[in-house]
Amino acid sequence: MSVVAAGPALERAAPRPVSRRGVRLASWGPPLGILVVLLGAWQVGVFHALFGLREFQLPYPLQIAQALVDRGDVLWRDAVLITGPEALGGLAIGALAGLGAAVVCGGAGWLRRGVLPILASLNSIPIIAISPIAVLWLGFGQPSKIAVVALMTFAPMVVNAFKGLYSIDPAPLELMTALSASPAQVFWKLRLPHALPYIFTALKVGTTLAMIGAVVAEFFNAQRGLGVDLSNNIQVAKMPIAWAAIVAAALVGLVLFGLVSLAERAIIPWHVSFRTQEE
Amino acid sequence: MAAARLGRRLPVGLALLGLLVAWELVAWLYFTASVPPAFQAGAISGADPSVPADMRVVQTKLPLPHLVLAALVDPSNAGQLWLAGLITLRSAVLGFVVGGAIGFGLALLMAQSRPIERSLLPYAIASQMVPVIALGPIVYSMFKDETVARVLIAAYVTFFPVTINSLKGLRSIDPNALALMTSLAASRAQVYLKLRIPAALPYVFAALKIAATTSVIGAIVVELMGAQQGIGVTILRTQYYGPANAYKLWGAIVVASLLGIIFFQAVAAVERVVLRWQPEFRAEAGG
Amino acid sequence: MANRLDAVSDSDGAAAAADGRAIMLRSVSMVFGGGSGGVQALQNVDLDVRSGEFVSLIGPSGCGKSTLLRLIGDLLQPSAGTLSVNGKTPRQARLGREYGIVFQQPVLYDWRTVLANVQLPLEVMQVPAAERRSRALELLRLVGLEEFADRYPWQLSGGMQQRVSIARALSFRPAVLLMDEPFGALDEMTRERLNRELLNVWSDTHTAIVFVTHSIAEAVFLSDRVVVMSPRPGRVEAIVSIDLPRPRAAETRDEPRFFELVATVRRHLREVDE
Repeated sequence: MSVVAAGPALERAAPRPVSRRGVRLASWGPPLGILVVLLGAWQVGVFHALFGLREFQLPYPLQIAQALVDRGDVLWRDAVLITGPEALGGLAIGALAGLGAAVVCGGAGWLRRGVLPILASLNSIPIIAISPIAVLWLGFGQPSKIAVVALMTFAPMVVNAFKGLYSIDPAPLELMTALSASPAQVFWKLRLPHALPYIFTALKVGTTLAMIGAVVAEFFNAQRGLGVDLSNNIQVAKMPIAWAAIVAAALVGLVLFGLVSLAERAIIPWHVSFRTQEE
Repeated sequence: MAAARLGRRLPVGLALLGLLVAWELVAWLYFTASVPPAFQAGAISGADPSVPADMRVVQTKLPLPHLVLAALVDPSNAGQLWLAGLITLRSAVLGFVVGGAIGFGLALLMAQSRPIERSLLPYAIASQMVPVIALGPIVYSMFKDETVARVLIAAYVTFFPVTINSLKGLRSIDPNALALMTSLAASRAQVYLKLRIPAALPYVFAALKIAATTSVIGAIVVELMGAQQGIGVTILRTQYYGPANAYKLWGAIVVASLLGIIFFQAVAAVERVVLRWQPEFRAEAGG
Repeated sequence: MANRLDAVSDSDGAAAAADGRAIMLRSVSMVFGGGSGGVQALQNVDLDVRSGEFVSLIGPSGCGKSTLLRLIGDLLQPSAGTLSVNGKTPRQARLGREYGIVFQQPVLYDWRTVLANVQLPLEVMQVPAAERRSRALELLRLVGLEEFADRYPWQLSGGMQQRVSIARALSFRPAVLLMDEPFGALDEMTRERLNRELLNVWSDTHTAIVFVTHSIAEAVFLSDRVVVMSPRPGRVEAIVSIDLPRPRAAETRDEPRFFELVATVRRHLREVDE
């Protein structure tokens, strides 16, 4: 038995009761504290002194906040109507396609040995570089960005979903055989539930990739969106707005991540609760 | 042993071959369907200005693979393709090493106490929510040096997965193994050196393999913002100058992909040596 | 910090021999969790273990025998009472590397060969490399696994891994060996064979052994005395002296006296269970 696997815990009594508010404060306190300290240091110029930067190279937090307020409506529109849907749509398509590909690859040995590695290697390809080509095929609008995001999120899903669907211990599979379950039943009752945690891991990885893909794909090849806001404002050296666009993009990413986490908690609560059991 | 390894590589090789053949076929069909014979030579060479615009981009959209291969082996393209690739790779590797070291160090720090971990972890996570690639242009305009920007971005995308995985590995130790160390009155340093760190290595390498490809991608994206040298620059420059550059563009994409794959394989090879005690590397059984 | 093994074990062995008692527990109690929600695992336990003696702890689940073992080994601190090991506090004994410990799982390091695993305690004690190696080989010879010195743990069966674990625990010649159901995860036949091997090793090393087990037959076969414990809160209910002659062999398990002693222990266990 591996030294690294979780071993049997010592007999422990019930933990000391701590107040709910106490726990909340304990987990939110330190990060919040650090955030305040970091922002404060930034505002008074610590990072500027450290790296020898001027204001036009690195704007101050208050300037960024001001830009967020001034351009709020534009940023909001771009985030919610343009970039956000690109990321979400691409993620959905890429994830579904990846899941489908994983299922198909499990169907035959030669598919698994020959095709799966190629699909997995899509992880290594800078899909971003294909965005000008996507524009040639699909135009300047959202579809080309969705295509780029879908390609980027496809690969992690294929790898993870395949692992979840087909790397199952012999014992549960033997049980299914003993029950004379049909392949479809094995899929729906064993493989898919077993794969769900892996699928959600891939989705979480995908949210980061989706935001990156959508924003970068917009850089030179779009007319509207957070990526456009970003690149346009950098080119005219309006850094506070550029940073505001990044903040907006980060928020969209957080929302996406939060949506995926919520879905995870709803769909596989049994797994999430396992994770809260800490040493 | 070598035969077994070949046996495993063969299906992939065949699949790749099949892919190339299919690509050639589809590209050829698309080409002949979209471009009448009169314009075909001009659509490939780009030398004929009378070729209509939509026919000129046909090769950029879906090039004939054998022409891409020709562009790849053409010595006059070596500088823009292979040399540029090396420049990008160099920065990516440097950033990878820096990021990996920082990530591991951060994990060691966070493993010391829960409060420290609770303070630092949310930031580590939130940092990945920022479209780090979007930071590329900003970092570039901050430091005005494209190599520094490349290395920084590569380090940035490397440190987070390494931190998270290393922390997981450092913490997931069998309580009995720790009790054993306590019974031997081992010092804290000894527990780390002899138990926690070796146990964490498999996790660290899992993260390093992911980071190998993402650091290359990060370096390339920085170049797409407007650098002077690197494979991303080649991609940037060749996308706008018509069909003559179509094969160079796709050749650059191929080179860029190869960079990521090669770096990944290099890290995997190091893993096989460092973690040679793992059963998966010893048994080499099929499947 | 002890660097020279022989100096440490000899002087302490002498002290323990003079004292006669390697381990002494007086009124030891253990409560987990504070306040009103606390769980009393052990209550007023008194126990003596002589140097070189083989003592088993047996009792229903939750009787605190593993807790008791960990208290002796300074892996836990008692809520009340005193313990001494070789005339010192458990903490001093632990810092002096005076006891070895074997768990139910072998707890071997995957990344080390069998030989390197056995050497681990000696490395921690900063014993020079040449001496480490010869020591480890000696112990592997003792448990019959010297040909496997360069193998990795995953290449060995469960029983063999456990033998390596025992070799590791004895590599630095501790005066006391603590064993927490070491053969619990193995099948019956392997278990009986390892019981015999353990006695062989013990007769060679003369360590005091505190052995926790669920198996009555195992406890009777191995021990000089069997300590029967009551369920929570754990107390010493009875101590059965095992007067079977040594050396004990497979045939010992067929002798009438063996069955009588097993029955005696079983009776005590039934009493505490009611």
